[in-house]
Amino acid sequence: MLELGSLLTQFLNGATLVSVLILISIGLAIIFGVMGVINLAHGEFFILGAYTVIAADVLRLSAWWGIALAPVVVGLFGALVEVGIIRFLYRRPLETLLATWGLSIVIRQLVRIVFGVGYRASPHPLLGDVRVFGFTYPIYRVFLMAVCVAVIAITFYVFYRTDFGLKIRAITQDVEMASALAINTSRMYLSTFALGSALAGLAGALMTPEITVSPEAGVNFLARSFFVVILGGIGQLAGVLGGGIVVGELETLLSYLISATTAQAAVLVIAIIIIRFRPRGLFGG
Amino acid sequence: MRSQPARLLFAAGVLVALALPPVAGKYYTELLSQALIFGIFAMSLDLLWGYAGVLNFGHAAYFGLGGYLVALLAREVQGFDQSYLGYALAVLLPVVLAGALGYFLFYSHVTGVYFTIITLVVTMIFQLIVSDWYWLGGMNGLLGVPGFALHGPSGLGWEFDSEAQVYYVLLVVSAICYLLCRYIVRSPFGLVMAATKDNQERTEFFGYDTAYLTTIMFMISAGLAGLSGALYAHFSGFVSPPLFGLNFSTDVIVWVAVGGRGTLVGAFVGAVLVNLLKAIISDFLAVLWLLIVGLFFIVTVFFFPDGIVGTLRRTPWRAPRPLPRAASMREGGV
Amino acid sequence: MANTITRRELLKSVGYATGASVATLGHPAVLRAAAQPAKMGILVSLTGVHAIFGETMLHCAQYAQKEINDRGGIEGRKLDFVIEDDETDPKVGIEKARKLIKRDQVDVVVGSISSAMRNAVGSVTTKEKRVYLYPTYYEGGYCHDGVFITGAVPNQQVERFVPWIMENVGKTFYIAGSDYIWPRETSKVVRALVEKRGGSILGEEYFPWNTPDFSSLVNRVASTKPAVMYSLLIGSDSVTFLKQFHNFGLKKTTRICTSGVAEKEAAGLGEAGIGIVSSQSYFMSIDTPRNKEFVEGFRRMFPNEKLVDSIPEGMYNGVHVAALALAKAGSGDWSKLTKAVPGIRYKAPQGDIWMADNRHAALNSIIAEAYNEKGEFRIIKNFGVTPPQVNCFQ
Repeated sequence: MLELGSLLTQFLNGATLVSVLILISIGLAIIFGVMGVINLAHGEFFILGAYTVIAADVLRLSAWWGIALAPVVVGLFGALVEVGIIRFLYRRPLETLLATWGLSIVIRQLVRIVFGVGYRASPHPLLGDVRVFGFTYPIYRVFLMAVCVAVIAITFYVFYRTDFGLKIRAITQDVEMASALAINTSRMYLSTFALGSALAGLAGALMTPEITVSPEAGVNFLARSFFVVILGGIGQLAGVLGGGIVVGELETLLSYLISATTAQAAVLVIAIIIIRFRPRGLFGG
Repeated sequence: MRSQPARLLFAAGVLVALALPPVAGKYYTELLSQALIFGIFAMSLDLLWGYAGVLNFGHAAYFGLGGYLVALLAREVQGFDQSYLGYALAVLLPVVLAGALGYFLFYSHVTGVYFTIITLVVTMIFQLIVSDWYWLGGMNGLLGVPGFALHGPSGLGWEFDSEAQVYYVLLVVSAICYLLCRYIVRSPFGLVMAATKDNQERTEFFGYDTAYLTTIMFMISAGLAGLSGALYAHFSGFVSPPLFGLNFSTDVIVWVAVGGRGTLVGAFVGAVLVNLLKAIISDFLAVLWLLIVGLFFIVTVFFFPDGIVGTLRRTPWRAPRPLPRAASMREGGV
Repeated sequence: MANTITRRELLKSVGYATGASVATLGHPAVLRAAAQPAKMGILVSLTGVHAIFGETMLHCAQYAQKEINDRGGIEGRKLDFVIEDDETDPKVGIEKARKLIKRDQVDVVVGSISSAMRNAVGSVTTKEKRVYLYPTYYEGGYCHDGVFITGAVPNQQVERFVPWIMENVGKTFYIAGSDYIWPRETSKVVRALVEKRGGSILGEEYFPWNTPDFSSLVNRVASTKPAVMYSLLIGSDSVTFLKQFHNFGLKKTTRICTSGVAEKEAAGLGEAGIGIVSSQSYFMSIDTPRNKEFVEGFRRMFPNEKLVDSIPEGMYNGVHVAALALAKAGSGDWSKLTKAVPGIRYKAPQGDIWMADNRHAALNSIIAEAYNEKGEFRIIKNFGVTPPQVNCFQ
């Protein structure tokens, strides 16, 4: 019985990690896939989401308000960044990389100036356990998984079932042809970037109860989302799912056999070898 | 090719560099020595970024590898040729690593931004590994790397321990590295590389194996970075995980961007200038320094994409270069 | 351009110069010495991950400086600081240590937080023959000439703590730590103490930096059911783990004991931190007039600082100890100053401390429990001074 229980919780642990990885990476992957832009400030967008919850708490709003506001705030911020910086660098992707790295430093310092340098505590929105087949598991983690599934479902719906998604996919395939067909590419880029940023902010807000909130925390999550995107491949939403599952489960399973560091190194080596045979990623088309 | 004012500027630069140590004092001489090492490192990045159009966002991996190899050897191996062996390995191992990465990435036609983020993850993994593997010193790093020395057989040797001596040694090494790089980029190989940077497909139609060429360039770049790492280990006497860090990787990109990519000299100009400025400014503005760096990053990208040397070279005394600043095909530009 | 300076201006400037030198010569010898302040190099992380501690460390040092100068300085010499930011990067730390010594010619260097940074800075100060004081608790074993340590070593944090835990909490332990030298060295001491007293260690695990998810560790703890979860995770990893431990509801059955959590970390935990028992050489809530005076004075000078913990207090003590040593030695001279530091006694906010012959400080061992969401601790027991035990291995 105990075996089954620990096996089940282990599975749930892995599933939570996968959900978290997907939530963190999906915004980055969308922006990269559609615009060819790597947003190195993605980790900071994530952290901005977390600090939105903190700010809400300071204003005596509940954590749920923070979680609801985070995508709005970070999405608007992302739109500003797109209009102010990214827009001018569409044809220079490497320069975008540099500019967003600069942006990440600026955000980090500004967060520090506004919120102080220390770790920040936030109220937990949903403490308690849920019983799964006779075993208890924190309810918030189950909630995280549910949100992840919802976000994936909505994103897929938007991309494959709406007019907006159709235009986006047209742009992804051929910008010039798309704009020749009277698609307002710059507005589509703006919405894409705002959407990706909003998702990063949402992920940050949702993760607040589970992570350390400090101005420097963003970089780690950036690294992890890169992992997922590299492994999953570019331009395909399914790639993010695949990448997230592989990275998350491998880390959880391998951590029983070898140290987590070695596990990560192994995952990277495997990813690079796979690229030789599937240049567009494990799940890329 | 070189115009009169450029010659004068160059000669003046050399004179100033030679005459500096007595004027600058111990600390600034040492700071300049360090900037020279960083200059070599930056130049190695420029080879790949400026001449092959491929940005390595994890260039610190090769620097750190060189530094750690030297440090490990110095601790574990005794003998007169230990430091030579250290230098040799510090160049060789990064070259092998770059070769392997190049084989898997360039041969799969992975260039542009995708290559860049893979290199970024590579250096992060390296930092994780050296932080966590106990016998590599872990977070505490490795102490006790000896200073610069030239060893001969049977105990014959010279140690360079004064700040000025170290500076001159590094000046000579930098000059040699610079001439070597200049030779490479002007060789037929370098010219094909430049063609690949501008248009990979067209170069392939001419029958060149661009994946092979880019891999070779990557290997040269990594070897030089390893050498600079080895020099740094001897210079500072201490290595630690942040040598592999993302911050250091971006620092070197800033130096190249500020100095001017695709100019070689620019790498040195950028490394010296940024490090001097930082040493002076961060005294007053410790916390704001990073904010300035961040904004500077953005401003550079927007207004000085050619960097200092690149901008100077476009001044009236030279024939105008008809190169627009849009990225080449290879960098992912459209 | 030189010919545009008129003769009158030239004469005027020469006149000023002579006037100035005459004025200097005119003062009695004591005052002339007073014009030459003592210089202390303060090396802290103002940017990067360790800025969390660095900022408070700097403020504590500045408060100590103010106290010293208000009392007339060091033997009549004013105390001057040269402040440098090491950017949480040993590479920069080396450069800044060289700057402090070679350009600013400070008499003594105080500061830095991680062991890596201490190794980096220490390698410069020992070579250049300048005394250096390191204020952070660490794994012990660093024995190099001229490097003195005002932070705790494992025996000071653990020797009294573990027997107390076994008497008051329970005898079964689970140890988890960050994967580096301090947790491993500390856990050796913990293990020896536990096993000697008939307790048992049910598990011992180490995790890489920036682990995002500790749920598998939490599950293993839940299934082995130890009485004590001894956490040696540090910094943000410590906060992440303790949050998740709390979220899984394990605090009901297993008590968290640690020597790696103090006020700053507890503040990041909020509700999740309540009930954690920690062993440090200093807590802000120590109820003595000396500590009250320190906390109040410090807050008056820096109203925005909410929490001081053992590392900044070590910094504060370091500055005072360095000042006392400078007074005793008369100058920053290497041979005099290295001899002057051992034996120095100082009435610190944590209680009386002194510098032992093994270059480490005899510090207080205090156990406290976090009791509110603001990260404040309540003192459970103060064992008084524990001398440092150091086997040199670094």
